[in-house]
Amino acid sequence: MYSYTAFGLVFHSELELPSLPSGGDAAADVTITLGEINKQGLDELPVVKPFYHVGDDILWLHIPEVAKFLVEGGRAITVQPEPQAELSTVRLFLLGSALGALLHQRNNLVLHSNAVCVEGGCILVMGASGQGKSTLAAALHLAGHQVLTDDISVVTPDLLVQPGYPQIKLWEDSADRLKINTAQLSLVREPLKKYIYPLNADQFCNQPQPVKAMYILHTSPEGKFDVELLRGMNKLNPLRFNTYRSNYLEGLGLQAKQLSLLAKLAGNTPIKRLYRPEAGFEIERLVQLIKDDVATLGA
Amino acid sequence: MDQANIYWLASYPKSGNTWTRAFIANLREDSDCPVPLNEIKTGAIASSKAWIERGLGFDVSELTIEELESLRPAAYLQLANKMTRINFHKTHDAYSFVSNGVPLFPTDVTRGALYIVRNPLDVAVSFSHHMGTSVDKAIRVMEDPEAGLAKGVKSYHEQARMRLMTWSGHVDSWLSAISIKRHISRYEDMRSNPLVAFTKIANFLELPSTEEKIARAIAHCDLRTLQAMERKGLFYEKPFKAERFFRKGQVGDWQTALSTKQVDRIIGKHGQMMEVLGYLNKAGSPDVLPLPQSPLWQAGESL
Repeated sequence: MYSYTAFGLVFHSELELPSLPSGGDAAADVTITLGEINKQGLDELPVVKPFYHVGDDILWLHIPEVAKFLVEGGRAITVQPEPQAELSTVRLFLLGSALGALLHQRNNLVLHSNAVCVEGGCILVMGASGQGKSTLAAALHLAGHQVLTDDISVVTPDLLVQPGYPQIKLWEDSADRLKINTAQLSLVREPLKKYIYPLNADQFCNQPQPVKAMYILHTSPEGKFDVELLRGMNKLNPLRFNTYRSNYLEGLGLQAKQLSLLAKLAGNTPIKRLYRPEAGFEIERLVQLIKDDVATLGA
Repeated sequence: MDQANIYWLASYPKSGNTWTRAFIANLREDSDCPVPLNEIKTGAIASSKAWIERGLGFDVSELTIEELESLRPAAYLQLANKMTRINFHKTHDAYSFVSNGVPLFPTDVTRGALYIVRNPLDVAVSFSHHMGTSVDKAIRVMEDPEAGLAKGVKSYHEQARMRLMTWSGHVDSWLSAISIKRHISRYEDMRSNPLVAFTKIANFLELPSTEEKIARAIAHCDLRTLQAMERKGLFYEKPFKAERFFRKGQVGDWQTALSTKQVDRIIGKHGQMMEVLGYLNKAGSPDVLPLPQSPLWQAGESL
């Protein structure tokens, strides 16, 4: 068994997870085991779809030709790799959709978002895939900010963002724009030209942080840079829209709890839309826009 | 459970798909004013990863092109199951089969497919402007059996890879899709005889088809109206490199825009399909307005 830590939890895992920092000797919050999943009763769960079945505290997920996962009670994941599946691919979905489900089961908010440290806490930058979140996280890292998490942000009920694990995943185009040399970097997954950019201990923030502000990253076809403050009820929908794997929530019976936690988070925190031009990258300008906005936040 | 809830609106790029969707949006809206450009919403484009991901229920951003393609039929089955009314979804994909021989567009979910086709001579010109490249490049893309959109691996694409095949291959693939109900509409007929052409489209798609409603919808998506709207504000479907989305829309633009060599090359490669569609006369020369006596339409309207 390997011991790891991420998102404020200690994992004991039969599967090696090289991206995650060591959990030391601490007792496990979550166990990850390899083995055959007992399908009994899974077909009678309230939500049954071709690739996932969900019930109260239990989720079964099937990624074709990769693996099946059983995620139980926020405490255990059983991984059944398909024959011929590459372990690196199994890991990808374990740390993605399966872990997302587990974190939901533990009553956290799980958002499609990165989290980067600023004075007094952290900012979250969320948005749909391909909008530029990781590129921005990398740019803020290069500008001297510590990174808490790249892909998924986990907010615990005490409204703290938990540290993820010390890496940023970057497409080749983004790495080129940021002048990051990919020659020594591993690929996330052949043949996609997406790289794992590791962060060292100085570059990664391993302490939970309060949220100072949240941004939703949008591309602007008109070619504008802009920041737009959201107010009142308008704050909630972007958070719901950017909830990771929100399709699992209904089956898990968690929608009401989620909404209540989202409302609590939204109530306390400025949420703004951040627009960047669709073409003509100008990442430095975007970084400056954020820095300027964060400076207005106060302590 | 009847899942046949989707009409696919299929075409090779630059063949009139957006114009057709503008017509559908205006027909459904049935209002005094034209539907604004950026509100022409039929359904998500078939290759939209966000839409496919909704159907599957797990992250697709790190799947390979081939893996994603083989999962698209299952995604559409799931999505169609949840539909409570008829949906229209655009596609530029050729009608093809995924790795295990299953059609990309499952027969069970397909209520029908409207296929819009345009003279490849005009398509080449329009495509080159749209891509911001030379006409020769556009012609080469139209000849490439491996041609596709959104197929690079160096950055994230919002869409799954769309197989185009060659222009002829694309048309042939939809003409040969005999397991689904299809209606073929020629861009040139939609321009020269809109009331007839668009009434056939409305009927096929089970949309309101009174002459009055159709005429009004046609007026609201008249090219000059669309161009005027685009001049007032950006149309989000315009690619960055293109100057405008609604450029000329002119039947026969190829006569001034293509050299003799380019015309000969296109006819050389696509002549057979052009003949089937009525884009070559009996002498084998291109006609500005396709003859209405095309063999395809003598066989019957709906296929």
